[in-house]
Amino acid sequence: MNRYLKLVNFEFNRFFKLYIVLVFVTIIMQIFAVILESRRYVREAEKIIYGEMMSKAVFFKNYEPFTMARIVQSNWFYWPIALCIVVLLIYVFFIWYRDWLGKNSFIYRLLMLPTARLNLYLAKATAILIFVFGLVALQFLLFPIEIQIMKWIVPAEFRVDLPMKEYTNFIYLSAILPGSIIDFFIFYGMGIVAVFVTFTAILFERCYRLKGIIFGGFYGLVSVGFFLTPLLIDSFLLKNYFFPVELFVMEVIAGTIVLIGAVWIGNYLLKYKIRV
Amino acid sequence: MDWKLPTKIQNQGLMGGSRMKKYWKIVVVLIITVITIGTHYIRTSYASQTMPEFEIKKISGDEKELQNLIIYGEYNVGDFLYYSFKILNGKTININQDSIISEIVELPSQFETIMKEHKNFLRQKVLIPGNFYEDEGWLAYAEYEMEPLVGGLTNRNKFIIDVMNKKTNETVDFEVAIPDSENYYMIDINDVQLMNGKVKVLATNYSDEESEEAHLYVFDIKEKKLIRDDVILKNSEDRENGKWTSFSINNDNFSLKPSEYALILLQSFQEEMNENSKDVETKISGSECYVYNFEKEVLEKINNEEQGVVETASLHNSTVFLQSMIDDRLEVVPYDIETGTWREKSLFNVPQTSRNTDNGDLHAEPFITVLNGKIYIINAIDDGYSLFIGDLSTGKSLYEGKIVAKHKKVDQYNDKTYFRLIELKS
Amino acid sequence: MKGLITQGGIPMIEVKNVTKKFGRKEVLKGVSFTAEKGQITCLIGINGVGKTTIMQAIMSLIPINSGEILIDGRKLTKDSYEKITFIPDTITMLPQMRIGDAFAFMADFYQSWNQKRAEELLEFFKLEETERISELSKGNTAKVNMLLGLALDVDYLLMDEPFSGIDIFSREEIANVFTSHLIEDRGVIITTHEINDIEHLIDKVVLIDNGVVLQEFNVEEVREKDGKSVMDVMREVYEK
Repeated sequence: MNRYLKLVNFEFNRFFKLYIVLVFVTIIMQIFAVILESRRYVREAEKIIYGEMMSKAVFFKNYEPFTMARIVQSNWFYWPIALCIVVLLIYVFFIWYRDWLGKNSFIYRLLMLPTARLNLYLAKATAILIFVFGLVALQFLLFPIEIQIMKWIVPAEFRVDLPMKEYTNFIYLSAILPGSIIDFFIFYGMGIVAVFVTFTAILFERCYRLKGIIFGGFYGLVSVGFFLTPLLIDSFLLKNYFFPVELFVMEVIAGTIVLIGAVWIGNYLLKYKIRV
Repeated sequence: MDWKLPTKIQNQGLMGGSRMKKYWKIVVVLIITVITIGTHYIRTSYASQTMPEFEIKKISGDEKELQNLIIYGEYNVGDFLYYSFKILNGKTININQDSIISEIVELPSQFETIMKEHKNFLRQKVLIPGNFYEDEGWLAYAEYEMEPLVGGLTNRNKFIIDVMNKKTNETVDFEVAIPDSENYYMIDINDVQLMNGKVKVLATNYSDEESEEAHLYVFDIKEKKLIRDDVILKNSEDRENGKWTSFSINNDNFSLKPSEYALILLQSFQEEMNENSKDVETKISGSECYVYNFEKEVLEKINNEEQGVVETASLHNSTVFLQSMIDDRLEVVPYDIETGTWREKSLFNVPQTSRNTDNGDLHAEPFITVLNGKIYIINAIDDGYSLFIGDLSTGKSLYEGKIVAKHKKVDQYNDKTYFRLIELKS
Repeated sequence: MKGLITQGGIPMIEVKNVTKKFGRKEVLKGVSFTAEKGQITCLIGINGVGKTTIMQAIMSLIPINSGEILIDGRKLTKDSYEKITFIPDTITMLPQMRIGDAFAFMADFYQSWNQKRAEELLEFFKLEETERISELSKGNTAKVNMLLGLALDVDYLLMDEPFSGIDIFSREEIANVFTSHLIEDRGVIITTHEINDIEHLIDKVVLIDNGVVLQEFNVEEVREKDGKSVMDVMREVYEK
């Protein structure tokens, strides 16, 4: 356990510099989005009301009020989120491959550590998860700040202050910021399974190189297929025999099996089949 | 060869100080993450627990009227939370709508007992109450299954009928294709009844743009065949100058209870331009009210010339209630089907908007619904909401009360409640 | 002379009939030998014959197709890495690390890490903890790499081509280490294709060619009994 934690810390620190960059880019771009959209709205409203001499009452009738929803749809707001997602997706792969790169083969050192090889696997997975959840927390922290900035710029009469659920329901946000704790576990649980399956597929490649890409790909497909089996069977063979609750339970079980399989196979590959 | 290393005087590693120093980054990130995400979700669920409880204070009438009455509403607090709730037997229950779980687990309340006792009957079926029929001894189901339309209408659509004897658990199920299915792009099932060994399905058939037909399909259970297809009613095919006709069956209420009759309200609509707001409004320019008798398989028109244009009509046992808003009042006229006579009309005061309130409600219009021959009106008033329950047959008030939030409002400004549905717990 | 018969109690590394294929190419076709604790065993063979492969196999850094490898009579486990270490020809630390960081890493993970010895060796090699590994010369990198292995209180040291590409002065320094107390009680396996430098250091030779062990012999014995040097034996064997 101790060495596992040390490895987690090690993996975390390796990526930390780039992580902080992502955090700052997100903060800066999102705050910029808030300021930009808020000021743009106020400018336009002023142009119409004072420029075209439309009364405020008529303005309110014909134009939509300003809400957080508009900010959340702004490019400047979601590009940093997309960037973070892409970088982390790449790092899911790179966290392994970087140990084989170059003439400094750090993988030797990792494989020769007096610790279960499973800990290498788990530590990398844990680090990735910490990075992901850290960004989720960042977004939750940014919202109240962004709302306050918006309130400073846009006068109250032009705003409708929505409950957070309203504006976090846009397609992409509702996925990364689930509405309830159960949804959180479901969505990120599936993400965790996906990361583990990807890790094991990567290990196939690292163990068998060219052939390994095929093995890994095949393994990935089998995992996905197995996971979808309850749904597919129910849909195509059983003509929707099962109720949604029953399917849900089956899916949770299937997901758990896939997860355990990924870890078990990954451990096996790391212990007996890996090559430097 | 003997070789010795010089001894070091002082240990000067870069590794000075506490070992714990190098963990600070991950610990900080972990703490921030756990606390932030934790408090966020605790806040959302805590808020659902501390949402205001509602209680209904009686002003007059019989509290028994509130028994098993479910009042659904939604409550906004500030700019952070809003939740759905239902008030049932004095308790305010949170309806969690933002989880996938609720979508997965939710079932229309009418199916709860069937789920418990005859779960398998519900499998592979469309769970809309209107497709089902339940009485003490039987369950029946009808569905119109459509092949996906690929390049035009097909004639491979069919009715699926399933009947179960609740005591013996035996089922009979069969499929029937109807000959003219390619004429209709959609068939909605409005009501299913079971009598005399036959399943009777009342449906609305849609063909091309504006044509609606009400059909009665009769299926013989023993023979497993369709034995009758009557067109009961058609809307007018005319659609000019912003005029059209359309009918609604049973006020779009779907129920699986046995019923002798079905109510069909045929209305003509007219689009008009509002002079002031320049908005196009739709007005009801005419209405005809029909009652269908399932046993006799006969459609009867109700003569309601006296009552004028009807906005809504509802059916309870063997009484039809016609509703119209006249000025600030809701006028309800009951019609007894068996005797074919009209009863005394009732008038209920329902202000259109509430003026004397600091409720600041966005939805300041009153909520009115008719259920089982009673009328329920919820209206925003000064310090809460008035609840009025009246008997449509007699026009008398059965219960009057006030719905108040039990604790202090969270935020004077942005606190809004509105009610959207009333049901009876089955 | 074939290898020693293994007896319970004699600490050694035993390689038994190991085969290894890379794709279609069979690199090891049944390699067997032993390396005893307290001795320096040298694997000799031409480039590409599989010496590195054998070492990697012993350390479980690559899988083998068949055969068995025992350390002190047992298969390798995770705890074995506190008892046996491998110094490959590339450095096993991150290039952006400073030497001090590398020490910290080793100290963190290995109970057998001897910080004091590491610092002594560092001074001996005339290097500083603040130097970055990526900025070191080839010779210095090799020294640090070796240091990382030597500063571990392990029973067995495997070194892959410790002298390759090293300048002559560094070579001398490294050779000096071999005769010091640092190596005394340990079991060492080194590979080289250049035995001239170290013939006087090694205790045992394992000649490898074509995926098998051609000859395994004790240097001292052969010199005393047959009056032959290692080179002589090699010539004999290869001429066959």
